Amino acid sequence: MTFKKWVKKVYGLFVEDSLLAALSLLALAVVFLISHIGLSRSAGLILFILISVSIVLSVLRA
Amino acid sequence: MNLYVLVASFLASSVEFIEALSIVLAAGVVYGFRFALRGAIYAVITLGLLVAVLGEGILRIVPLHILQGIVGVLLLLFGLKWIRKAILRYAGLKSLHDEDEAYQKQISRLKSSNKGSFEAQATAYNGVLLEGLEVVVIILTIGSGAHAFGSAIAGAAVGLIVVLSLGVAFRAPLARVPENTLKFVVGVMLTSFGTYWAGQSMGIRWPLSDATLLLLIAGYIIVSAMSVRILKKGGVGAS
Repeated sequence: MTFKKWVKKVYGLFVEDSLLAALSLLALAVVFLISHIGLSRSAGLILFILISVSIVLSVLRA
Repeated sequence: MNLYVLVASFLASSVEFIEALSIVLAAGVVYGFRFALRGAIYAVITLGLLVAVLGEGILRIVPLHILQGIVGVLLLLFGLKWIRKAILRYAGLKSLHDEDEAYQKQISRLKSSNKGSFEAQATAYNGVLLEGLEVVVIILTIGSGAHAFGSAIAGAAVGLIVVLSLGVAFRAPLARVPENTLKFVVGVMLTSFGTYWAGQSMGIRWPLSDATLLLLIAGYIIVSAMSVRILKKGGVGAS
């Protein structure tokens, strides 16, 4: 198995919809900023909301 | 013993074991169980070596909070993939995963091949290795994230015993086990764990500590149910 194929296989193990993966990573980046400006307690709720919205968006465009 | 980790690991690995068992049974039915079991055993040895090399060693090199962050992100991606699939299946956008159908397909593929015992052995090896690799990922991620390798391994071991017992008892591809529901539950659990650990490593202070996991699980179940309802209302048909 070539390296490229192996990378593809590993990628496929974690990602099916690249939009959903990208949005969830973006959500993590957003809460990283939010929690570092002193809102570390509300950041949890924001993360949950952002990921939930990402799920809905992902399935709606399927 | 960490109960959350044990249950998550048990459910997640059971799904993979069911799929692996279907492949081994298919290979065994066509060419005899000796070759199929030999392939399965080789795969289990390969996986055992992987866990031994990658398992505890990681914790000695990488600090726990960094590991939780990496693991959290991987679990989140892994869980979201499963949740998405489950929502689409429940909504009728994706055909339901039928282990019985997969088993029959595997048998006809093997029957049409003339490579005999090698084919059976290789099929069982590949199937068990690929599905087992997912179990390894589950054990490593859940186990290292919660610093509870014992619970993660115990959960997977219980899953293996349960699935093997069912396999021996029924000698069928376990179509009776509601795999799609199981996958949905696992997806919700992995996503919740992933959100919790990844969030924690990003600086989130979860208000209820570990108990927040229960809220996340409940929240993702509600979001998934709402998504299925929205898709069904949209009147989308099965593909």
